[in-house]
Amino acid sequence: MAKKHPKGASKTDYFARTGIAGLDSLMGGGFEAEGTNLIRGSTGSGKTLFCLQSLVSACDRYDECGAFISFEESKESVYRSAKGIGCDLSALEKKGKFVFARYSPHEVAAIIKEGGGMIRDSIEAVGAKRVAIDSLTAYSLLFETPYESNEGLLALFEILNRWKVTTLLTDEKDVDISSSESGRLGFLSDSIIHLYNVRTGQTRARAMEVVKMRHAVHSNKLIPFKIEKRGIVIYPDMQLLV
Amino acid sequence: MRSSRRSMAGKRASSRKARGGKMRGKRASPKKEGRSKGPATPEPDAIVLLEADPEDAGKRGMAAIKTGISKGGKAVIISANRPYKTLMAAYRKNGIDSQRVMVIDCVSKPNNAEIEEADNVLYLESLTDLTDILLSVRDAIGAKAGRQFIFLDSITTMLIYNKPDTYARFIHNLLTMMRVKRVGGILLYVAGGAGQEVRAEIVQLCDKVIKA
Repeated sequence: MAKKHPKGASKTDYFARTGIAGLDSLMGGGFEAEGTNLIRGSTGSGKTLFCLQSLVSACDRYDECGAFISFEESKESVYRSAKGIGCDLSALEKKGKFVFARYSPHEVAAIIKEGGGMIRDSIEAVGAKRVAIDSLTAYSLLFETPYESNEGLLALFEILNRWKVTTLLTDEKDVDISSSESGRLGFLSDSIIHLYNVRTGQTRARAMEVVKMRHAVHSNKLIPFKIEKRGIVIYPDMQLLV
Repeated sequence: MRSSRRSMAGKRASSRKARGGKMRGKRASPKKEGRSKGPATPEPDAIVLLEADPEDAGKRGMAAIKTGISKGGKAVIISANRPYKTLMAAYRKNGIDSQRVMVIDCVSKPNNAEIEEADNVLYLESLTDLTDILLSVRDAIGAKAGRQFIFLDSITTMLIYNKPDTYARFIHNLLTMMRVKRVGGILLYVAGGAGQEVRAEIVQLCDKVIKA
């Protein structure tokens, strides 16, 4: 769990800036620093790009090293996606500011049982302060019963909290725009952002929503956004028209 | 008593100002609705509904853009009727400086028409993605310096593709943004076309109705 934000304390100590212009103020300060922040949405909603933009922005602007732990997508594919929004992960890797690691869900389960050593080594190799784990979906599917799944998630969250890093976890799930259900994963997370990709006639429109901030007052608005060549651009003063 | 009356009048005036209405003397002038043979001439911040006959709509719209630009404004065109390439040719023919025009083209991509890349065009995927159109207008307004106006061509065409209530919300959002950013505009409506009920909603949001 993230550090609690005491009244009057500097926000920068308790929140990690998202790196997406305009989003910090909507979240009441930014991600929960050293906490677990869940980015949830359907396929193609922009979860991976959201994480990449945040990691790269933290490296470039705040000199905060980052790690991307992939449970599914290959390094080539992730690096190509990053290039699409103007982020050169190879250059950051060469500077020792970024590390990519890929594990299969089975490997992850085994690693977590043993205390997370291999993943921790990857993070410590660059002194990462911000870690993206993409995605939890495959990991959750490893477990046969809801009880086992819950135990597996608890073990993962305990390890992440011990590492004292700001974690961005992605969860591939069709989120209903009118629903407030967040499930066990949502309960365990310090913050939740939903990314929507809503059908509007012949095309789809994108929007995001801050669903939960454990220690801050956040906006309840549905915020339209675009994915452009420079990354995710949000429009907090506009409305989604569906 | 006197001071309280003054204070009430002041409140009414600020409220009118917030809505973008104009003050003339002690009373705000009522919304003008009339027939004009000349082009719609947008005042800097005014939002005008230009209601034209189907046969004349193109010509009236072109004249309105030309007048707005000749007064030193830059036009942001939301085009639901003609693709960028055709528009540019028409502007050249009518002596409109294309450097003073930014086109949000909602026609070319959905119809697989030729895409001509240029600095003054933004191609959108669909006429039904009203959010995308709004965000693009906002970007276009933000990118241009100086006095600007928006020309929407046309309400009638966009209503063929969108539900009236969603479209009314789009217009309300667009006009609110224009008021906040102090940008004027001309909304083209083809007389006798679709969406009579939406027209009534739109009229109450505009400063002036010109029947050309």
